[in-house]
Amino acid sequence: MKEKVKKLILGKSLREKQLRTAYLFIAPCIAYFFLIFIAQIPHILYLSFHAFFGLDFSKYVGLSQFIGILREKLFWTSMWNTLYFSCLSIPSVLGLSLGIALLLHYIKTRIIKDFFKALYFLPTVCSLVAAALIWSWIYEPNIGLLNNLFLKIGLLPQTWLHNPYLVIPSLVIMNVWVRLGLGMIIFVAGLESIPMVYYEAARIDGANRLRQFLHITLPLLNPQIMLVLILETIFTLQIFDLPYVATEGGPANASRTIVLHLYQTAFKWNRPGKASAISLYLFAMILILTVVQWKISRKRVMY
Amino acid sequence: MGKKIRQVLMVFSLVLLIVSYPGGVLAEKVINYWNFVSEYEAAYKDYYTKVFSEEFQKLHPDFRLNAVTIPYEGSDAKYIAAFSARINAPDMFVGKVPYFAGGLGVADPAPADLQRIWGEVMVEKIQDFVKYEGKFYGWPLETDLGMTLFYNVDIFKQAGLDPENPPTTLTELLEYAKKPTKYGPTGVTQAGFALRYSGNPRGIADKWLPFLHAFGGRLYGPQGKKASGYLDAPAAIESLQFYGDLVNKYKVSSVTIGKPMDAFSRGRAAMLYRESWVVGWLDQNAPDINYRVAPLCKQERYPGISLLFTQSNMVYKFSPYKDVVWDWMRFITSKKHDVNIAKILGTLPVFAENFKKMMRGRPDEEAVKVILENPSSPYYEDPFINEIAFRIGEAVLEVLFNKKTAEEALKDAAPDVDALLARKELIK
Repeated sequence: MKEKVKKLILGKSLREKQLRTAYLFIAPCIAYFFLIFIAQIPHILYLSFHAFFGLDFSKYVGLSQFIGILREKLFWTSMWNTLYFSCLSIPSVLGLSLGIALLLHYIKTRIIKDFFKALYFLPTVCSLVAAALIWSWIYEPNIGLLNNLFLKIGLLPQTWLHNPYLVIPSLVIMNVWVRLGLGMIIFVAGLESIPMVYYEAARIDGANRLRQFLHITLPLLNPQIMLVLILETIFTLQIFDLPYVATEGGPANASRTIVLHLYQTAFKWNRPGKASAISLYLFAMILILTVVQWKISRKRVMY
Repeated sequence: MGKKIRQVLMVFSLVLLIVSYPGGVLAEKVINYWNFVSEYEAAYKDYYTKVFSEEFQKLHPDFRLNAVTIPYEGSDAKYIAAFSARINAPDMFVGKVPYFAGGLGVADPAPADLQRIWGEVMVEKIQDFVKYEGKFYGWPLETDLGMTLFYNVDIFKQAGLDPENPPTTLTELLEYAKKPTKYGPTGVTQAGFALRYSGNPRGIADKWLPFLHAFGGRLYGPQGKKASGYLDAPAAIESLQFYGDLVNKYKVSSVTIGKPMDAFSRGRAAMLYRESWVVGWLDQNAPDINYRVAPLCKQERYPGISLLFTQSNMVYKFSPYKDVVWDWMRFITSKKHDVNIAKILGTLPVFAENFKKMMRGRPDEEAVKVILENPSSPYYEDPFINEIAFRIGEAVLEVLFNKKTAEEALKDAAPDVDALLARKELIK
């Protein structure tokens, strides 16, 4: 190990020089990640065992905050809302972005293909705060665009973000609109990397479009599907901006997500200890889910 | 030669760096003032900055005032982050006294001379709101005597209601609210009475307070130790049930009509409860609205001042310029500036003497007189009132959105509030 590090620092071969350059390029990123994320973990652990009263006084409370959180209704409401949001959002993003990528894949004219790619990708570069504001106006019950459209086509207008039962699905639509582009770009790249010979061979064997999709496209897109699945899982479990701006967690906590709960605990009520304990629960949940997803779907497909 | 020049330049740069770093010889002494109350933004920012630079700087020429308006919704987080880090924390700030003096412990009690002077000159009914454990910590932005009933005269006339005789009891309020309410495909399009149902739950609790007090209820006991037995008492349950029924049973109000102030200023609500600053706000933002102001409605009793908080200017306990900031507070809390600010904003001044003069002829004059003549409702000084109000606001929302009955919501909330009330013992 020591020898390897020494070689990396002082080595003069082309391979060692290339490696050195590569590490130097990623060094700022690693330093940032370490300082902002990893180095905070011991401090978060320390905080989670302490209760804070005012800004100057804290007290060691052992595991009581971890236990107390599990007894809190608001924690479970927030957790349920987050999971509900994720369960609706992840398959929607995955399915729709794959569908759009497939449609784009079949477009042969480059300029049209690029135009649609840009069109679908545009909301991804829009900030979630801006998206939330735009959609709040679209969803407005009395003067909003959507209800006006509903009235024109003879459907009953809805109260969308003001309805405890519709608020999460409404937020999911906003989220899908924003996240669709990223998934679509990943899938388009994946589709373009699949060699055409597989399809030609399948066609000669008499496979129709559906069979080609099920037995060639889907298995070979497995790494991209995994990537989008993990990215979306992490993103939706940490969703904050949309409910914070569009609903502030309302109505009646119906869209209060776990990160919003964590934020309010820390910064509205000045309870950094309790908020740290919540963040550790969230960390554990994301870690477990990601590992499970990775274990289940990591098998490589080779033809 | 080149080396020598480089050395001289390096030494020069180093000296420049040392003298100009914050607190260094060349550093400008800036008093940072944070305010998040958007209604007052321009007046406080512009007026304070002008007075500071034109008048106060003659006494303290080294200092400059940096007035910053921070967005209301993110203000809690910004305050906590700044005060926790003790870096770039405001030297003077706007907030609620019990929370900043007791809950966070960052507000400085007023010096002895101001304790005496403020006690003599400030409108008596609001003094408790800017005190914590008997000491003055802040100077209120205005004399906030809680809410009164604002009603739209034109909507009243169209609905066949007599604007000369507004409702005086909550039962009458309900009857009055039925007539002007209009309905569309999404429900209520013009509310008889607009109530708060969105935003921070603590504001929602605040808006329910006059109803609670009118039914003879209170949030927690007079000793500040227990909510059980008070928040879940029959009076509180009845008042919250009435509040929820306005939306769900009688449908004279709505949880889709928008913010009550917006609805009222656009002529989409006949009545609402709001504070006296709204007089100035309506004059500036909705001059076409023909409105009048009446006292709050009674039921079991007259609700009186039903306020959870009032916003005040406070001084940061650990400010390096604390003495200068208190000097500035002495300067700006004079009778002259009090009148000027009240004129700019259309609010009620803080000096009792100014208050008496400026109250005359205002649309809310009679309603304010009734408030002053009647005893005040309970005042809730708990240092964690933010969190307590948040929990109670959630219970109100559960009823407004028909998720629970008033009894269920308040019986669930009371033990949580008990636990929050117990927290203050730990900071002593």
